[in-house]
Amino acid sequence: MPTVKCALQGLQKSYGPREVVSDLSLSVAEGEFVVILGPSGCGKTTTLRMIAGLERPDRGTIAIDGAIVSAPGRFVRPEHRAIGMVFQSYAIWPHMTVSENVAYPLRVRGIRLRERRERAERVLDLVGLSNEGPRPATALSGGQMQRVALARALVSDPALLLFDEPLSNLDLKLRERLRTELKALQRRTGLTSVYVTHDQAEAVELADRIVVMQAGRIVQIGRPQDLYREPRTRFVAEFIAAANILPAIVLAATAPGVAIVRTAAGFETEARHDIAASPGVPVDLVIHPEDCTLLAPGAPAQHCHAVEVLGSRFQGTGTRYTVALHGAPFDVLVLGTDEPLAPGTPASLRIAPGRARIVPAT
Amino acid sequence: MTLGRSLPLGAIAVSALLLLLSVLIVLPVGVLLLGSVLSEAPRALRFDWSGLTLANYRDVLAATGFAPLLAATLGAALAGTVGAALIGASLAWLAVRTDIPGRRVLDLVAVMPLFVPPLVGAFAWDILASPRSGILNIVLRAIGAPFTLNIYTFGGIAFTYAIYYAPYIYLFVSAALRNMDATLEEAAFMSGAGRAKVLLHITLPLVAPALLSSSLLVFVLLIELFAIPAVLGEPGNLHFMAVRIWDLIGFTPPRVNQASALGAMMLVMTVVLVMLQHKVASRRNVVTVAGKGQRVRPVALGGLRWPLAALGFGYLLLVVVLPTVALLFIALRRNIFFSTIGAILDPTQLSFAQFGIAFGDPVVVGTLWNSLAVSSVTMAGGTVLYFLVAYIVHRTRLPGRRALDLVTVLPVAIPGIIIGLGYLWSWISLPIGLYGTLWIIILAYVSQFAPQATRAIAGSLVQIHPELEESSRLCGAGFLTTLRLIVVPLARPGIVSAMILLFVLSFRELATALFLYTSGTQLFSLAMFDFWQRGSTGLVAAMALVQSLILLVFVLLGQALRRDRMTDGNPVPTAG
Ligand SMILES: Nc1ncnc2c1ncn2[C@@H]1O[C@H](COP(=O)(O)OP(=O)(O)OP(=O)(O)O)[C@@H](O)[C@H]1O
Ligand SMILES: [Mg+2]
Repeated sequence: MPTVKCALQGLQKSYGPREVVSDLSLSVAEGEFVVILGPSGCGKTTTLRMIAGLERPDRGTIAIDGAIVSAPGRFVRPEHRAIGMVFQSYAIWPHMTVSENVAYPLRVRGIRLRERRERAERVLDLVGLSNEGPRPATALSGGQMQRVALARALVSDPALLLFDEPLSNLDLKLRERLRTELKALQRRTGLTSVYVTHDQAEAVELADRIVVMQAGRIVQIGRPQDLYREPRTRFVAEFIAAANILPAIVLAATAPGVAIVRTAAGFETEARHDIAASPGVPVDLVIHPEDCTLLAPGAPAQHCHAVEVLGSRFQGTGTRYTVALHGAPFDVLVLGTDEPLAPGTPASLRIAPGRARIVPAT
Repeated sequence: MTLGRSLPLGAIAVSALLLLLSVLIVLPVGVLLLGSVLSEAPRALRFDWSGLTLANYRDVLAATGFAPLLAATLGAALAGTVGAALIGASLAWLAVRTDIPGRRVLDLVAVMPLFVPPLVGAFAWDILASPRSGILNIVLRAIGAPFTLNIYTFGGIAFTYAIYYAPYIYLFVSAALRNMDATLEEAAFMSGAGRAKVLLHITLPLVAPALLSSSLLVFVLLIELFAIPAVLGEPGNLHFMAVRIWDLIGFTPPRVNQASALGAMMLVMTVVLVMLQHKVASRRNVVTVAGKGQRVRPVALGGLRWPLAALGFGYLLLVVVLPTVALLFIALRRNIFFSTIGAILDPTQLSFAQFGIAFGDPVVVGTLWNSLAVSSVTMAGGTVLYFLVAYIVHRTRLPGRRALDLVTVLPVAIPGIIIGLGYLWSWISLPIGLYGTLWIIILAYVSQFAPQATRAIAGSLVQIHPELEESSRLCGAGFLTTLRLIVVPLARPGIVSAMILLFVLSFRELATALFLYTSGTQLFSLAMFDFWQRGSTGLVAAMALVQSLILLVFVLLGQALRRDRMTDGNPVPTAG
């Protein structure tokens, strides 16, 4: 059992009458990279700011390294929490040079100039900004500022690193590159990190575990693969990936955790679940377009269904088809750059066995 | 931003500041209002309630000449406002939206008159256009013009008001024009409207809120103005409210309760107008804000380019060049009596004697030191105080911050002469030794310029992204360290602006100190006014030039300081 680095217990926060974080509990293990994912306004930033000490929870406790930093009647100020944070706006001070920015946490701790210089230099190397130290901070590009912010968060060897959508102000290419670098850096330093984003691609790539939030509450926690293959609610299924979600009814339970369902359009299939799925219960059937493929019509294989192509969208690395499955639209992602099938073409839809899943109907 | 909430002394700080500002701002005005309904002047904050009466108001209203007094005050203020609006708005449009030659220069110098104290402007125009010995009139007579100018008239005073207060309108309207989405105008051109129609139907309505709100502000400033009516009104037997308040105090025995009643009436007018102005100003017009900083083709004036440029720069001639030349001319003469062009141009008259007399006089030098001391302390104390206020109001969620905000904007609506009078009656007989020192003047100035100083600092503070402060806290810096190393350096432009404003406004102020000085605590502008009343025009001209020079040097110094070495030329990316 890895040691717990940061534990949130029953956090609650309201602004006026609005409750923006409700009964939130989470524990982050030493060295773990946890991503909090959720739509805009669901309370991610508020949660992160409570960990940082920039907001006081109305209820609940926060512990870092086993020491309570926030609880009713107890509040450790942000400057005493030993947390490094990278802000969405970077928050690079424009009146200081790059190295002054980076060395600031050491300066306010009274560390001598020489050591400050050396350590700032070392982290600047680490984030790939060697020799940029003397430049004024405002002369940097967005991506460079991001690295300065990261260097500043790292320089004082914090117990915990917090990120609030640090890549959202950058263009797509840079975002992907920095994402990879960030992950590599975190692996190397082994720093426990909590990262907030509303971008599922970012979350899936970075996270050891993803925490999905909705309207101030955690709806599911798990490894990216788990969330992808075993969403517990329709919201998680939709948010993690653009899945086919079809309203359906349970016909029969065949084995523990497996049931036969029929969609409103009359399509029948076997699906996994971890709910009480007795016959007649309305559910939502979740099938990822990536778990499907299109074959020539009449292919005799198992798990195949006759469909007709309705339309297609070319997406660079593949083609996303919309086909009529029992008359209802259904998305399929076919990888490769083959010339797309014309609308009206009959085809055979194959769904990888064991990938269909049902969640409670909403 | 809960940083303020984790500040353990937050609540105490807010209470202390509220108490301090209440004593500084609310108390004097309250004492004045009470004094206006009593028959005796309040002594040591003790009021004789047996004398509760409305007689002061009755006396003021029934006094012969009250109607002309009110008419002159409001009429000249209104005419001056209209004139200022016409000049300011036209200049703004010319400088911002047209291809007039020299538009950049025009934009730079159009606000210069702001730094000319109204008292100095009044002196200069007295020298230029007094009916008998005005330099312009001598020239007019010499060229056989069939008319002369008379600045001692309603028209003359309204003219002086208009030219010296046009820059306020210019500032507001030019900012509105710059923020205006110029595609709105272009769309009108594409719809077939001509230049004049576009100006009338599109541009003017879009800047109307800015024009209206700045006009109301100027109207208030002109109603309460003392210096220009005192210099130019009395010779022509035109009387104004601010000057009358001063007269009433000058009676033996002083009619303080009547003066307070008149002051209270003036206060009602200014408060109502300021509330109206606030309403207009807060009605934002979202349509006019352009999404992108697109550069727009200026309106082509065609054949009108040069004539309009001449008009625009003609304004500068009237308000900067002519007055400066007049003051220089008088200050550099041996003898101030002249009646022909020949006498005006007589080179043997050239002399620095007036400067020698003025600055050889220990009294004048003493007032200069007093003024410098008062303005420096006002600047230092006011900057610290209003930085704290602006920080609490704009960067924390401390309870009581709204009340703090309200108290600091109040003086916008309180005429300087009323602050002075209120201070007099609050402190004159309290045995704490405040009256008769420079400190009472300093406190009055600190109160009077609260809104300008707070607004300047707040303008910079609100541009600092909260995360810049929060990241410092997470880096391990405490509240005070963050304030010192992050907030103050980043707010420097606003802090320097507040310092300039506090120094300049207090250095040139006249009306507020009229009732607060004693023989040992005279100030430079008071001495100038005093000499002018005694007819020492040459001395006054020399002193006015020195005062303007000091202000100019100070403003230039401040502007150099304001420019931030790091952010200069680069947009601050973190401010968004
Ligand atoms: N200081 C505040 N005062 C009042 N309401 C606030 C404040 N800060 C946040 N909120 C509200 O709380 C809710 C949650 O905000 P939060 O910033 O935590 O959302 P988020 O999940 O980070 O969203 P985003 O992805 O847009 O950043 C929002 O509805 C927001 O409007
Ligand atoms: Mg957020």
